[in-house]
Amino acid sequence: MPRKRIVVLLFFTLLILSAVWVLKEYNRKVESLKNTKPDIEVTAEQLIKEFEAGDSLPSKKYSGKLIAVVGVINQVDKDDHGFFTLVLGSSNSMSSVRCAMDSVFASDIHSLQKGQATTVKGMFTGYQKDETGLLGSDIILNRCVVEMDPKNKQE
Amino acid sequence: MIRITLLLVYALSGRFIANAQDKYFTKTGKISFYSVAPLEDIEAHHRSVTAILNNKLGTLQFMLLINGFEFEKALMQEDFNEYYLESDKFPKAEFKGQITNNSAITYYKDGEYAAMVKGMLTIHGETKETEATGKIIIKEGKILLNASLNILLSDYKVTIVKLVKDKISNKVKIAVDASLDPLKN
Repeated sequence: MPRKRIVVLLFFTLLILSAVWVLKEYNRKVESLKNTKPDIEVTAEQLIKEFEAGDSLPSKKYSGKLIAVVGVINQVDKDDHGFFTLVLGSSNSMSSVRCAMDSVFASDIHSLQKGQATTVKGMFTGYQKDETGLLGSDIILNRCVVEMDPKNKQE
Repeated sequence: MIRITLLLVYALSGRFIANAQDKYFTKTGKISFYSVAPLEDIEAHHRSVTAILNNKLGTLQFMLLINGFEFEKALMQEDFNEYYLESDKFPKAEFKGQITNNSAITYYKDGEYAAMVKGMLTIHGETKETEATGKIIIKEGKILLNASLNILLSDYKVTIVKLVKDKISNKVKIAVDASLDPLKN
């Protein structure tokens, strides 16, 4: 095959591959965290303690990280649109860890109750400090899923 | 003496009840934004919005973490946080305002009322005076807030890259939907 033809072929192959990559990247959906391994595992109490200490270090530490939080359920919130938020925390503090649950896995939440210990993993969204003194501060996680106990996992 | 004590108890308990019903809040409010443009329509939803309303004074406050907006497309969500809203640098957005026709709303009675709100909206570290219209629905001890407003990204120094400047809209519609419960002290 002449050299010129090889170069043209190579050029078009690269062009097509690039176009496919761009299209795939452009249409990439936000993935579920169900089967993703958490970057950090921490208890709700520890997490609250770190943020209540009041400096910006915890935000830097957890920014962009997938966190698995072990804690006791203070509240299971279901809003008018059927979205769930699990609230983990301790009875000693007004602050809590609020996990906005991934609606795809809503069936995992139905069995959960207030006072039950669980592990929830979600993307760290940020720390919302309560400036009103009325509501308590929150560590907010997004796209959360309940981390199933391996013993209770259904095959 | 008994009468005075009873009067005192009545007055105090009345005051406590009134105070307890002054403030309503939610931490699961929804805020969505929509932008319609030739290149692409952009839509994102946030469902961890904190809102607090003092119905006695008519003051209303919304707070959210920018990073909590969810998009359908991952790349759009990443660009929104990294290049447009710079959520690492400006993690919060906030609205502090006043219901200007608060006296026309009967909070103790179920019903639907038109509401006008005026206040300061902070996005991307920039604060601008904003007005919105909406409705307040009182239903079974809850207060439902629905409102929408249009903002210009340029007002909040959100820069759209030159390459797509003509194809992405500078105008964004914001829709608010929150169900507030009484705040128990």
